Amino acid sequence: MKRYLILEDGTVFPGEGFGSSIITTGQLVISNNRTGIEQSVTDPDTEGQILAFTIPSVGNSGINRDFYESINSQCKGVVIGSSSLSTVDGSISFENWITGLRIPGIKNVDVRALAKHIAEHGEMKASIMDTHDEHAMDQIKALVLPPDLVKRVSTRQSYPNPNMGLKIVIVDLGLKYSILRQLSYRDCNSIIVNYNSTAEEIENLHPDGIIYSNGPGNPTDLPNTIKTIQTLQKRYPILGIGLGNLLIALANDCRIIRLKEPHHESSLAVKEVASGKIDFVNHNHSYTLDEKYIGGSDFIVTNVCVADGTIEGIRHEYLPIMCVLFEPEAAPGPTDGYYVFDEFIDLVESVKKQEGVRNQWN
Amino acid sequence: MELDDVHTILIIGPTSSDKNVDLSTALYDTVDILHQLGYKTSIIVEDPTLLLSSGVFYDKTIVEKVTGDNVLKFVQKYHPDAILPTVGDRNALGIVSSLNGKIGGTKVLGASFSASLATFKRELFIKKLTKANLPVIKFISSDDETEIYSFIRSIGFPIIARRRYSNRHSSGWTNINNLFELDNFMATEDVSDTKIEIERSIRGFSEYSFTILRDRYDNSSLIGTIEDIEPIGIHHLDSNLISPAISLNDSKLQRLRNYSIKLARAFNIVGICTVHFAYNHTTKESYITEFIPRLSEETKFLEYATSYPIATAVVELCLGYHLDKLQLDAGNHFNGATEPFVDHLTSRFPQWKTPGQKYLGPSKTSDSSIVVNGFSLEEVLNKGALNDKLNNNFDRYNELRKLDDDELFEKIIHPTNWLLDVLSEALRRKFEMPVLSEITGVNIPYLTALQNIINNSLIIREGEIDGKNVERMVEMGVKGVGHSKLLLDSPDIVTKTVVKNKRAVSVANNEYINHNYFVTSGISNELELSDRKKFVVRTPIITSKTDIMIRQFVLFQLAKSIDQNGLEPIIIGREPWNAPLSMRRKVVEIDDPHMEMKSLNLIKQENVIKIIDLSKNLVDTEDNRGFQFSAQEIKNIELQGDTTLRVMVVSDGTNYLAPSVIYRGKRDNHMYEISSVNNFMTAEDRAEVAELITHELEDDTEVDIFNFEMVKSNGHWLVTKKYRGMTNDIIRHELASSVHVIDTLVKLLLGNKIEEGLSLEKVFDNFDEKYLLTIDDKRYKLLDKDEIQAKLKELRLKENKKATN
Amino acid sequence: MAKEIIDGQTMTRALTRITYEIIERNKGIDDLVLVGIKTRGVYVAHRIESRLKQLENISIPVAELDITPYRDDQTHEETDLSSIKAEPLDIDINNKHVILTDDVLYTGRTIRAAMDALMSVGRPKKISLAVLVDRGHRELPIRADFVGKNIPTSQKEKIKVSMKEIDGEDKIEIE
Repeated sequence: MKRYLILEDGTVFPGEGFGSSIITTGQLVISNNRTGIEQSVTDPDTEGQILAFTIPSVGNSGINRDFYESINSQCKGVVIGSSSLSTVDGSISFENWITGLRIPGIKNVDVRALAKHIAEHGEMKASIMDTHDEHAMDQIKALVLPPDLVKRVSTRQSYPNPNMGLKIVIVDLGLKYSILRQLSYRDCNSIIVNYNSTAEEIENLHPDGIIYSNGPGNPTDLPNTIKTIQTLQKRYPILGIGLGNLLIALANDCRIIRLKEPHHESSLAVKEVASGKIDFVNHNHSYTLDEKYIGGSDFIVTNVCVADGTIEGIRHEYLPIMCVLFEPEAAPGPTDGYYVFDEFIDLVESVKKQEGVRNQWN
Repeated sequence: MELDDVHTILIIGPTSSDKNVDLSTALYDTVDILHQLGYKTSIIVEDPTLLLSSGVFYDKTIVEKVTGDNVLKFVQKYHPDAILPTVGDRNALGIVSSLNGKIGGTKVLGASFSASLATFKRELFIKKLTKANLPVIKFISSDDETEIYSFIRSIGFPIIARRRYSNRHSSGWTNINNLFELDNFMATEDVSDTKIEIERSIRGFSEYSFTILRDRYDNSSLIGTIEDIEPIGIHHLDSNLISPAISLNDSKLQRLRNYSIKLARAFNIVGICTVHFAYNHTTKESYITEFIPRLSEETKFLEYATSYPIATAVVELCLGYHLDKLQLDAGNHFNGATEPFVDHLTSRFPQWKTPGQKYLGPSKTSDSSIVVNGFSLEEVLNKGALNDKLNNNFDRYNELRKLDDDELFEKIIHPTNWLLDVLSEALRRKFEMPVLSEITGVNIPYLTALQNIINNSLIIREGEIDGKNVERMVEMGVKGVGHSKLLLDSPDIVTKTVVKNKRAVSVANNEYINHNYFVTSGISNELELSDRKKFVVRTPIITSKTDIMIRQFVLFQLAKSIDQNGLEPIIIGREPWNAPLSMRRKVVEIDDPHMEMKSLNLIKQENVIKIIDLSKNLVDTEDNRGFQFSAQEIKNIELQGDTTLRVMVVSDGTNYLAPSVIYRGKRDNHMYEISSVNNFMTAEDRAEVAELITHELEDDTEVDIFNFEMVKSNGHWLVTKKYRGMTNDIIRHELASSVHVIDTLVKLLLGNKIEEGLSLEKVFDNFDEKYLLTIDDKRYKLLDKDEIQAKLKELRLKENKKATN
Repeated sequence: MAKEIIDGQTMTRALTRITYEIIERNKGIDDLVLVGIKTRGVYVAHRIESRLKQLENISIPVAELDITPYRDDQTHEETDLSSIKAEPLDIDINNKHVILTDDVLYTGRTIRAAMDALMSVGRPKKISLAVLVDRGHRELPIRADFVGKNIPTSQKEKIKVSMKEIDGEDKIEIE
């Protein structure tokens, strides 16, 4: 069935509908991920978003159900160019999978032209509809995107991911399961808590370290979480990922800016400032840190994007806080960033050891 | 940053085999950047025409057989700081591995001794990979039963086995899938002194190749991935290739990526490394089958598919540059630390010179290839392998239709180069897809794509073309007969036929402009042309390697000349032309397999000055701007002689120049050819030849190129052949002569005139310093003036034999 | 047979982590001086220096200290430490915070010799120790402030550190 992707500015892209036939509206995000559509579609970061994938022949590789990044999909719609009706490994086809998730999709769209348009005019709202008349335009213009994205995706109830190693509390701002996979691999005994948990609630769990996870939306919408960070960061080693990184920066008088060209790409080079080592990692963020404010803060820049110089990682000079803006858990993308978790574990362990030494000597 | 002890470099050139046409652009780019960065470069090469240039970049050009001995001789005489084997095909790696310990302080760039050796020695390859914990097909060769059974237990079925006899012969491989078959194999008569060789069977596995770049500081990036439509067992370059590898999901892709990087690290390969994998999608097993630590046909394809300037990057990495701080040319920064993301598919379809069916196997049989772009599998299949104009698929279709099911089945079991047509026919007869996939090893999505195409072209045959069908078909790349135009004119918002830029998202640095387009479907046209007046060059599809070399050369010289004369070169071809990097940023290339550009009317006609057509027959005879470039035979007298001259003439319609004359002498069963002999012609010869030319050109009043062949008979020259346009000699004329015929032609086409009343000296003028001697069309020597005059004298002494009919 | 226990990447990472820890525990790195114990300790020092430079944009001085003949991990013979004549350092260490760097920390005798040598040429404000590998078996009350990797070893085993600058590649092997 012929359907239309209509952008906020009135641009219309024709295509063919698949998946759910409802009318949908959301923030349109262009994803240059090469693989792992399963991961992108189930990534809580995509709450409220219509995802447009620019890869050709979507779905050829099959749908891997081990790749889910959350139980349900949060994304509002999927836009693709060509799709493959069958899969190389005999798994469910992409279109059937999207139908099963009850997400509306539109295919045979000129995603190249769409990506170019967004690159020129910036990220905007969009809608998948059956017609492209004026009424449809009015509808999309009238729509206001909800600001409480994190609230929608964060776990309401705390839950454990038990193991025998270090005790890590993860503040769920839109947690991807692959972060838990990485922690499980390192024997971490984790507890996942709601984004609005108070410092006291978290302290009562007696963590060895805290992770502020990735998540959707604008970090300035989360003042409570920022306040909690200000209390906790003096006492615990902290790792911030994505949105978590932005919140930690805001908690320490840094500023954030919106990227002119947002990073939504599964393999983009990041350079470790100290050693010059280049890693290819998954990026999924529209904000970054304002360099002007880093100099005056207690942070040092540890990672930058090679292509555009965007800050991709910071570290506190004397508190055990490390942050990355990219997604070290990959999923999808190259696994070059896994070391960030090793570094965090090292950091937590060295803090523990120092405390141990201190206790001994005191 | 760079290796500071390397200033002089010896390049091991390609051997003069047909295969190496693909390396000519890579070689040119490599030397171009070395020259710009201030290195002194020498080269050993068998066939100087592969250089694509008249040698301005080289400090020394040694025309010799490319062998270890000759490389060693050079090293001992000139002591270069380093040897670069990456542009010299497989032979160069062989040479490098033989030089171990013999070249003193001279460095080997790119592939190390051990890496080079491991590309030849299977045992070393397996040992090194096993040590690095990389998946390699386990292999055993033993006469001890216990050892053999314990090995089989460790790898499980299926396996392949054979006996190797003491006389170094061996039986063919036997497939063994279960205990029963194993017992049968082991029970066959056992000759003493026989070893049994066993390997894990990877029959039917899918084949992938990953190419990575790596710098000295251990930074690696995955430049591109390729998948074969045909399974392992059919030579990679005889298979239909798709880039990027779309059938790998995230974990598979990352696993193979990590293996590739680990392999390059294990061999400490700096520069480029292509790793081949066998992958089984059912069991998720993967094995590394080979690695290629140099530039190759594949890297050329990837360079085209991804727009990443691979050849330029590789030599810089070899010289110690950081991956993120490369130079496109002196002063132009390029961030090489990207993993190119392409939003389209690029496909390479092998081509055979002769139309018949050929059985395919592990050795390469194809003669050339065609590269196409598109946004879906259907589109690239239709533009490439199933493009009737290129592959005569309609004939194939008719022939296959005559077969009965059993005969067709035989074709399915024993794959030929018609495999895709055979599969289409099988699908049309409703053979089951899973069965076809199982037998042929072609993955189901490809079969589905074929099915899709069948479904839609059926509609076409029955003539039910409505607006909707056309739209769908345009998306699938089924075009021609003006459908595209129909869509372009459609008032509704539908997908239209447009021209898209072929580029990778991550390589879209501002410094790196690439005007490389292809005709496809979409809603926006990306063709961006400058205000400059244009020369359009149309190129036909070519399957012979010699012709490809010529096209490569001619297009390069044409584009360069058009650009230097202040015009914009637009090259439109059935298949893309991979221009050298320096030209790629100036020329507009449009890949147009269905030849639709004309009907799309996207290039303003008033801006086009000339249309240079390289095909044998003019596509468009009405347009008087057309200029046919390829040779048309005007005259041919069957007269043979032992001494002949070949003269290239450019004429403005009134006056002409003859800047290149090749002398050819058949002496003692050898054929000697000397270039630019016009510098040594006697005044009488000149006058005689000039008179003949003037006479022949009496009726030709347009700008044109002519080629004459003259035979010496009874002490006089006779014109035996006359061609209008360019013959195969063009490269030799251009390379050997310091006067550029192609550039002169472009200038004349622009309306310039040859000076009136030139002296004969001027007509035959040429200021060459080096002369090319060709022996028997395959051995080349580069000689200086004195040497060549001595040789010419020797040949002329025996000149006065009679010409014979 | 030598067995690789740490590869180049892990080594690179360990050095980066040591650098972060040095920054973390020294508010301001202005008065730092790195002193590398020859041979591989010097490369460790240089690598830390280049990382600090990248991160903080401050170049800190690096000096070399040669006490090779007295390395304990090569010989267990009694040596007369008082006979060590340290080469004069080409930088002033008075009132500086000296970070001694070495590749392997074993008995501690090398470090002691190095400290003696340092004291004989100046009066540092403080001496810290950074090592790539701590393999245990201390014979002196010496503790490293910054450790790349702790590797439990038997005294029979040998630890071999290779570094790109001198050995062509980065790795740590045990044999």
